[in-house]
Amino acid sequence: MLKLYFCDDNPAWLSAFSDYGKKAILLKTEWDVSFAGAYSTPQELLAALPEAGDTGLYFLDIDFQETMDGFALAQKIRAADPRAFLVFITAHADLAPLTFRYRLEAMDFISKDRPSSVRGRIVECIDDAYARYEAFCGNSQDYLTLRRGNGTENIPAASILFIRTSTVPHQVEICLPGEITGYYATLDGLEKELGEDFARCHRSCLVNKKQVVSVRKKERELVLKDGSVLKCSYRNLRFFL
Amino acid sequence: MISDIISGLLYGILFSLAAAEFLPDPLGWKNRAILLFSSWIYLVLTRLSGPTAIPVLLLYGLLFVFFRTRLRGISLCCAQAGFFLALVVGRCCFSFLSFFRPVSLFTPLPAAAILLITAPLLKAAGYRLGALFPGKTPDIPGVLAAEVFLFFLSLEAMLLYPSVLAVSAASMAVLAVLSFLLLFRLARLVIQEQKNASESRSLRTLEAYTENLEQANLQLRRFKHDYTNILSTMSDYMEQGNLLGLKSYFQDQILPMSSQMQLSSFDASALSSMQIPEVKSLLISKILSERAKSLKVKIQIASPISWMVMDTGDFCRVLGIYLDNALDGALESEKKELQISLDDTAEGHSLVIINSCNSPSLPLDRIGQESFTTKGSGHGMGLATAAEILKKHPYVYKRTLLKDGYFIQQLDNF
Repeated sequence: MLKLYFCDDNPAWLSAFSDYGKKAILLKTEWDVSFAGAYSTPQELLAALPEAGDTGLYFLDIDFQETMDGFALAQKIRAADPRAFLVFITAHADLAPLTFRYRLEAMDFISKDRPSSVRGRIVECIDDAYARYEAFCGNSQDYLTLRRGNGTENIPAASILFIRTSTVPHQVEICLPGEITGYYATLDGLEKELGEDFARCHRSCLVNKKQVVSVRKKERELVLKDGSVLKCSYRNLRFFL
Repeated sequence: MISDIISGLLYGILFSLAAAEFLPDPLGWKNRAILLFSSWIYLVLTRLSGPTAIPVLLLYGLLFVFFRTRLRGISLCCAQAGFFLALVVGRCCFSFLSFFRPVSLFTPLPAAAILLITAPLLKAAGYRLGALFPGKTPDIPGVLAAEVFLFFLSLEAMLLYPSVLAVSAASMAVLAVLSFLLLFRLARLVIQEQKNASESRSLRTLEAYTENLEQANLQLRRFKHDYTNILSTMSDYMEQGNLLGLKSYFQDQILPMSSQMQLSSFDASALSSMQIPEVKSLLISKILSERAKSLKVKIQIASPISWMVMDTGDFCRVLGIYLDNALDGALESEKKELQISLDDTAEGHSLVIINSCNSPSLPLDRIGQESFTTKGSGHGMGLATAAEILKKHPYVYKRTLLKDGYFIQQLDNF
């Protein structure tokens, strides 16, 4: 069940948003989506987060005057709902730097500067989020949980291409399409955690078998879905054939 | 013949070592090799390994050092000091060993070994002491002249009284002491030169920063002026009840202005939260450089940063490499955007550099490895060098992404 949440300290905007949201899903009777609530403060929103199994689509204002800012709120939401979709509605969204968007890991940004387009954008976001939600559903995805400092991050295991040891001591590099992340872990530990789908292609590299497109036996190389080519040791070729 | 060659080589080693070891900027291996081989060939050809070859060798060594290094005057004096030290050490070894066995070919070898071991120590001691005792910096031509005079004086003494050991020993001792004193004082000059160079660098970055601030201030004053005009025009329309006129005024005048404001040049005042001077000046020099002028640059430093867990020098080198890459990537792209953010998160400081990028995909298996580059020959060391530096700081996390046409480099927990 995809649940819609709205949070904004300005009551006029809040009721407008909820209105748009409710009307958007009114006609989609075959969708597994519902309107969960509209809240004026982040604290109220956090008190009403969904239980496990439900994913939320959150429309949040970042211009809160209170103690909690957008980052902290986003982190707390993700802690409770790892697959949450976050959309930030704010004034001056066009001026929001890319780095800001990146850090918040927002699905989208909606600008209050152009009020006439807000409704259309909300509807677009709901459609987008539902499409992604459906894609997730039905696959009980395994997640790799990365614990860092005070926060955790969940990466769907199926999208990992390979993991290799990093040049930095005691770290590994987790490689997904278009992304390389450093993390403090051992390959052995991760191999155990990730299970059957992953196998070592050599001592310093753990590969997701499902991402291997072809095996070049003569050159002892593995070709992955994104085009990366990895060397494989003779003994480990058998895992990928 | 063979003995000449060997002895030439050994003396060549001794003297080229002497010239090279004491220089403020050490000579590269290529230069040292050239010096060594040329001295060797000279010695072999002239078959002279006695005192008469020394002045010629000295002259050659000094000319070599003069033309092959920066800080020429200082290098000359350092090379001279080293040369004399080599002479002293050589002479002492010679005299010492001749007590035990007849003079053999290999006498220069222990001298060279002693010189090789003691030279770095003496150089370090010299620089330390030079920094400790403030005083007038030496005048190079005067110093050179004094040294050469003393050298020839002692040489003459040695030649006149070759068998009187006391004379030889005394002249050697005087030379040695004078050379050491010279070295100590020269160190002060070297340090002064380095300070001047870094001061002029920081002066340039400060100038660029000030200019940028002044520009930003100017734009702000213009905006304030325009703002009052706009408000009064709008209130006119409203008083007349001319909604259509107001609408068209808004569309034609005000909206374009707001988009123009975003394109205006970068405002460096965002850097005021960076309170670490080395990082600040690096950021300034990269962002306000000529290359960056054609890009849309934004920088955001959320809260003041005055310290760092990581060594600042290392961080600056890594940041410099990432910024160079980001500048190159953004310049090649169509959107030409570059954004930098430095934040204080729960995990310590965090750096994010985003630049618009042409590459469709991230070559996971090759990026960051030596000699892989999209920029043509001569490149490819940047990310590998950065990785080497980060090896020393294993608590720092790095993340690289390519998403929606932007290349993102993130560094956490420093």
